Amino acid sequence: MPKLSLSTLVLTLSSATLLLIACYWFIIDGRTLARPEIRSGYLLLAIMLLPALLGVRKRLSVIPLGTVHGWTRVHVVFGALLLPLFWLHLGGFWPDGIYEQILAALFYLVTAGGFAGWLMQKRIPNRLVQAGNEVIFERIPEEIIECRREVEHLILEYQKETGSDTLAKHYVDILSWYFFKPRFRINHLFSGEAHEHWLRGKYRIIERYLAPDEKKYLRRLADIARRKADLDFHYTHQGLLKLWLFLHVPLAAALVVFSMWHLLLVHLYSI
Amino acid sequence: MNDTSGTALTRPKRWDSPFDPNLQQVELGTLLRIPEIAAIDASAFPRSLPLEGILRNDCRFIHRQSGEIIIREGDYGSSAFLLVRGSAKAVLPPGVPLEQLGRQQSKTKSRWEAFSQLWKNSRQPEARDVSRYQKKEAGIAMKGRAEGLGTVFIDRQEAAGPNLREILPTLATQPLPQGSLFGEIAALRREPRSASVVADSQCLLLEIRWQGLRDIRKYDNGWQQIIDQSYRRNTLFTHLSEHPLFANLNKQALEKVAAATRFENYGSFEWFNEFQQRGVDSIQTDQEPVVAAEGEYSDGLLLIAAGFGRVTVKTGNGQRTVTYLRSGDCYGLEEFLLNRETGQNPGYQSSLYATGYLDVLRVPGHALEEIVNELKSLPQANFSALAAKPIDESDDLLEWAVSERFINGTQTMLIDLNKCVRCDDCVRACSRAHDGNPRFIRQGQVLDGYMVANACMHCNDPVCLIGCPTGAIHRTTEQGIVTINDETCIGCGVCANSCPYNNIRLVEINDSQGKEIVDPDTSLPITKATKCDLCAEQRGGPACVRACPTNAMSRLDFHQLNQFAGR
Repeated sequence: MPKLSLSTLVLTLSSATLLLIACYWFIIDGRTLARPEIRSGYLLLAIMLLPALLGVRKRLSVIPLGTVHGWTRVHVVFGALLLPLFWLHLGGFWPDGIYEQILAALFYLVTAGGFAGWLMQKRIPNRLVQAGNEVIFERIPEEIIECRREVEHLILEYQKETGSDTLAKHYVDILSWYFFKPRFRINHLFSGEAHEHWLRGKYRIIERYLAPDEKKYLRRLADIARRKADLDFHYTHQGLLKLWLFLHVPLAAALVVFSMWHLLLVHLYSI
Repeated sequence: MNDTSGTALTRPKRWDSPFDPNLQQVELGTLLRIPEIAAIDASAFPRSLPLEGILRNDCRFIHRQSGEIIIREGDYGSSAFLLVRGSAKAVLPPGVPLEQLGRQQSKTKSRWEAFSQLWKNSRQPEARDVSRYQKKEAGIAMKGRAEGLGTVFIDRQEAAGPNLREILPTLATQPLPQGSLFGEIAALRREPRSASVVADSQCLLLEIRWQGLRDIRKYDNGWQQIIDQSYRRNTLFTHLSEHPLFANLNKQALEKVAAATRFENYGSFEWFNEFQQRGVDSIQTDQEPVVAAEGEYSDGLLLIAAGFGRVTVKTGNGQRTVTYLRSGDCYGLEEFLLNRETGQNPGYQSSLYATGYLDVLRVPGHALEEIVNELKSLPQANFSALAAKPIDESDDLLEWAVSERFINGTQTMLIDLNKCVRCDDCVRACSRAHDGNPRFIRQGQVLDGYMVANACMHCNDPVCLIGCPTGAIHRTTEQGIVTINDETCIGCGVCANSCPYNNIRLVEINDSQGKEIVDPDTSLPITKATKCDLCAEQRGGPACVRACPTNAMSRLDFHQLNQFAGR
């Protein structure tokens, strides 16, 4: 069982207390009010802004504002807390008006994205460790080019040493596709083995036409292909983490802007 | 005739690069007339290592004007000095003011300064305020002179600013007469210089690099006595009195222990050269010098004075590393106590190897017997118990940390890759805190889900400090952080080349407009050495650690590895 640190305990207890207060405010105390949704709306907006501050904190790294890790935990806990508050505010799961439906859709997308991100942060690092060959995302295209260069040198060496072009032709016709850019990304996403099946098939169809001294070049090529597979794996998973952030942050920003507009409309036409 | 393949090269020898290639025959004659040198018995030296060879290749003459610093407190120098002519003064505590030593007074930014960085920091990477350097050219600050490894001094010009000659009378000093030898302990033990020495008049000094000094000490009894007495007088007693084991001992008892203590050193003092050139494979356990072998007759207590030792226990057909020892640790206490209890000498229960180099103080058993009742009981490092633990992943981590010399770090950047989401927020935070250019690279050696990133580890044995011609790279006295004073760094690259872990980088600096700053004489860009400074000036500690969203990053001493793994 994972250890529960003091800060986690404090954060959990304070969030639970806040949720209880909010529930009391809406369900028990709120019944006596004429327009409880106004109060709940403001509270929802305030709590919505709290997770949004994480992005600001990240940009203010030179100012001592606590650790981003602490802020992330607040972000996750309050992000999760928003969901029941949102339902309380709506009085259901889905609103009626078009604008409110867009707002709700944005809210659900951001929340679902948040949960997905939280899960990805828990799972993907382990997968990357298991894949080995740690590499910086931005360098992967360069590493792939390096793999291709190595294979091409190998093929030239093969031609020079063996005087044969069987493997060279096979590389140009079939295998070069694999070394051109990251491949089998969907398969890597689910830790599948499709790339291995594909490569094994391509080795098998040419192997029978190779002399024993030519086969050692095929084996060296297979080693480079394995390294390329690791790079593809890293590219897919690290890319997913970056893509997620790329989607989650603009959607969250849109949600805040739409919520502000919603607040303005409510004040102009409803109160 | 056989066709010779490859290029022929005469095998490099020790004295291929003399300390002073221009040392003329006439100067050698002068050198041999120095009374302290003339007293050395040349016949005691082996033919392969003649005294004349040492003098010719490991020594050089240097001149210092009155007021010039000869050695600077806190520097890591690799040579000693013999005052041939003139006089000098050793500055006693509190010493020369930091700014006079070319050091930076470490200063944490105020809240407002931290906040105002948001708009004050330049948008250009590696931008410097050129006026700082221009002021220097006008004569306020210092002029560094790289005269090769070992010599470290700063020459303040008289045009402006305080001069050491002027402030010297205000400092507490001790005169060093002609014939004094100083700097030898720091050179031989790679310790920081304990005091600054300033030329009191025009001085002629003989600078002896530590290799030569070591050999003279080894073959000449007179020099051995001088150096050993100096060590015993100045360092050994302090070292023993500060050791927690001897905390209950009075001065007399401590003096007795000091008198019986033997000083031993193992391994290569310049381990980092071999480490850099040949890598980890060249320094496997079986090639490390043995300090104590498992099963061998145990003789007293070994106190680690400097360097690192690997404690191993024979396991199967190999040696299992159970822990490592460093300055302040001791070895052999378990055996000594067992010996007293049973009356039999069981021999060492483990082996001790020198990892890199190891300086040991050997307190013989008979000296310990006399004070055994006054020894302070310490939580004992029970190596046998460590060895009884089943082999698991932590063994692998320890072997790795010792082999790769990560144990040298006091603030190693360790990333738990099972938590790291590869967002590079740490790199961005570092960049924001340091002139728009990160001071580390998020890549490095990986083992079992842990990465030691390429960031300065603020080593126990900071070999990067050796040879800095201006003392720009130094360890802060308050926090022990290895830092570079940008104003006095001349961009020579000695530190970057010395760092065994490649954690120091030279960067080309720009002005506030982002334009490259160049030397008008050569038109070459001005470079500065940069490295992680643990955000010493920033509030709240290292920005990288604070920026990590998943708590994957830590700055730690490998002794705390279990703590990190368990969090």
